[in-house]
Amino acid sequence: MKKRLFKKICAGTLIAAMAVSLGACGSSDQPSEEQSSSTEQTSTASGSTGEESSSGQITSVSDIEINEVGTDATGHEGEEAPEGIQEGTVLNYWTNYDVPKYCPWMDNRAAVLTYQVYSNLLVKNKGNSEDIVCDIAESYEVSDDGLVWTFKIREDAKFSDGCAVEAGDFVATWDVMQEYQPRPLANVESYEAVDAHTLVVTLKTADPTFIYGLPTQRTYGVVCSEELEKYGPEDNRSAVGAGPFYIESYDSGKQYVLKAIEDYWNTDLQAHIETVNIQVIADENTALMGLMNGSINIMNTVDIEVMNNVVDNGLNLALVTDRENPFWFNARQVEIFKDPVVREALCHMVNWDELSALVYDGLYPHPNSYFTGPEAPEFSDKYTYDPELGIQMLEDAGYALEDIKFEILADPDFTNLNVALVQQFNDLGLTNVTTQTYDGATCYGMLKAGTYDMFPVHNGYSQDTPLDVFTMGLIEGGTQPVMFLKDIDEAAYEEAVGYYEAAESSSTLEEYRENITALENLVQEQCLALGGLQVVRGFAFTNDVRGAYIAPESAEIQMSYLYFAE
Amino acid sequence: MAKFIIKRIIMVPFLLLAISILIFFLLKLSPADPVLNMLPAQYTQEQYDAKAEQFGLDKSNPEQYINWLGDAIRGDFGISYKTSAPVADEIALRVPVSLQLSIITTIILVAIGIPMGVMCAVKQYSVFDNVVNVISKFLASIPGFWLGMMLILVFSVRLGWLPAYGMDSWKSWILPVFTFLLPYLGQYLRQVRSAMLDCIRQDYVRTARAKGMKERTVIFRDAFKNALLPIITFTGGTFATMIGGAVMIEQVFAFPGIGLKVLEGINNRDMPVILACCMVLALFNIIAQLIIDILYGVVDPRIRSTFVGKKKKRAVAEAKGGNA
Repeated sequence: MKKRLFKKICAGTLIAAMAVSLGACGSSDQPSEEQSSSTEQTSTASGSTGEESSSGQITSVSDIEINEVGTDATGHEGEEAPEGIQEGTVLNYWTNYDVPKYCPWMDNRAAVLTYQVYSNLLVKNKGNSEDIVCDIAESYEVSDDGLVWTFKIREDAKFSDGCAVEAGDFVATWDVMQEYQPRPLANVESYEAVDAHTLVVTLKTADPTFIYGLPTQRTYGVVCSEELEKYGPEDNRSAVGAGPFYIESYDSGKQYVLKAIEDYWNTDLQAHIETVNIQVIADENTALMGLMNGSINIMNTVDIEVMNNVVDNGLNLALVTDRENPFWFNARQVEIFKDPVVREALCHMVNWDELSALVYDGLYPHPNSYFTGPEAPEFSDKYTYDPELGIQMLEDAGYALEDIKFEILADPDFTNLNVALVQQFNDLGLTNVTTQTYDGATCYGMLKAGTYDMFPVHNGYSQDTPLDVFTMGLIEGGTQPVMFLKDIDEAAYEEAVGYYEAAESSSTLEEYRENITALENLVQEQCLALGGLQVVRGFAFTNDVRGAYIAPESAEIQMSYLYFAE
Repeated sequence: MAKFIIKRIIMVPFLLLAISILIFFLLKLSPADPVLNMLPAQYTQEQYDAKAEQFGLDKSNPEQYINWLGDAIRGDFGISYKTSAPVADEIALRVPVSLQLSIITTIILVAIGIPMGVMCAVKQYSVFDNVVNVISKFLASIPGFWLGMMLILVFSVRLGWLPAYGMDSWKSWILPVFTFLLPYLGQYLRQVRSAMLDCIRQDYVRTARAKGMKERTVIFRDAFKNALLPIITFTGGTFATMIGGAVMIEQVFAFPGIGLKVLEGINNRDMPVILACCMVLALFNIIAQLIIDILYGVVDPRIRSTFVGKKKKRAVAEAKGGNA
């Protein structure tokens, strides 16, 4: 009798446990009324017209179209934002990165803060680099030779502590940047505060892309020179900016509290949300659950599973294209990579579309170039997927498949892709191709030191400043060596340097673009990388959030535009 | 007893020294250059050299270790490569969180685990014992991060009763504590039950029963008191493991504890942080072991007697009429 009762209790307990587990894991097939309505909003938000289900609902991330730059990613473009601050509003924004230093020159991963707390002379209107408008500068002039830029500074511009922004603050800020982050100033001959409201910047060579960098990026934002002098460049108390928010408090490992500045001097960028809590949550799944229960309002991810969960739960999801990551061959480390036949043969052996489908549900596209932009050269037939041709090329050149031996370096974000890529090589008989995952910091250190065989690296490529990728990756002494052309073909390297220098000294945008394109073409024709996939980033919102304008190159939201639906 | 405690305390610095040597040189095997991690994307050789000199990374490994050790003895664990803040200050913020979490969990563990374990042993093979046995096996086999996710999903997302993350109110502690507790509770119950069963089967328990003593007295005075030794060992060991082992819970529930700090340190190749965290965790572990040893002495007179001084031993022997 006792035994029977015991069995019944055990069975009951197990069934209850399984039911709870399954109930918790699964999402209901029939969305609730609230979920249903928000799914419709998702459809609007993404502007999706593609493969939607018969009811018009988005059923998978791949149904969503990429968000257009300069439009509200929540799908409410054209709705009127409230005037001033919405009293008592609190927005919780997720980050997994505990920004330890928020002086802008100290940490370039801190864009989530710097975008809100700092201002610069100019600003990309709603994140759109095609539309650069005045911010702290009320106007600017460029000399005919393109060398001298004169910025007139607004008299009403103020730091969050109430001090007026003056030309001298830019000089003090840039003086510090020279030491900590000199790259944006590399082509700057001098900068001078002619008077309190006039700043003159003289370039070494005319640079048509200058406008996108130093005077525009909020990550190079101006700080109050008085505080800087008082506390020094490595003290967070120096981080007094002129942005629409100020940092009210910082709790290590927990959160940053940003407060909107009332009557902000730049009325176009007046924040509407009163308090923004930037929540530091290490685990992305916890953040997702926070989003699902409404305690997080905005999160972003490159994880396809998390994006699918967002869609499944009827939350608002917008997609923006992020970086593309070519898998660079390190010919300095691996002798066989010096042979162009090996490089081209390997390029024929990767089916990127299959990898995308396998690892990312087909969401991450295989770009047609290492580089982005309308004028970037497309891949030649050296990159056509033809494994038999690849194997034939290797055999004709006298290589046994076992001779092809290298290890692909992966950070945790790329582990799955690398495993699938290695599997493709292994299936073709290249059994000595392997992969190894290290944490991000180790990978970054190995990248800088050049001690890897192959690594998918984006290397800071931006359509606005396309030369940077070559400064760091190609030119001898570059800090993130990825294009080992000099080790492969000295003459080709000299030619590339010629294009690089010509681009650097171009006086017109056309000339600049021509040289860049030639340089891009040369690198691409040399098969310095296998190719790669383009990362697509998903921004998820609770359904009451409006006004999300995302800058694609930094994948950050300018929070001053955000507001809550009434 | 005092001699025993002093002996154990004297061992502490040597243990810490051995641990620090091991961790320091293991960390040096990493393929990443910490100086490169601290430099901006573009740097010059001068900047590299200056940074290496600033953090003493231009010296040989033994020299670096000796310098670090000298500073650590004075309570200075160096400057974080990542944050440029004193590591001691950063750790001081994190340790209380992990300690609180571990102490609360241990208290609940003991409060639930001991009575239930004892009851299971006393009522061996009863329905209660079998049900608890099945549940404890189930709990012991659940991975903590999965359990945490499920609890968040049920109590935070579906029911909306408790916060999903953070530590803003007492409610925030419920899910992390239970996520932390349940897998340990499964093991703990089984350990307590097993320890009690060992004692219940002993002759002296049978004798006590035969003498007609009350069952409650037999269980709690004779059996439980003798079962305390393994229970203390397991409780202390569990507590020590919890302090550093909460990394998964801290990660899932966004609790800024020392476990998460170690993880951040490892991810950033922040050697001063890793070293300091490991030393602090090792210290807690050693202290926990020390407390266990002291409690052994308190609970078990046999252990106490082994540390009686020679004079006292001789006196006892003389009193018994034997030779010292």
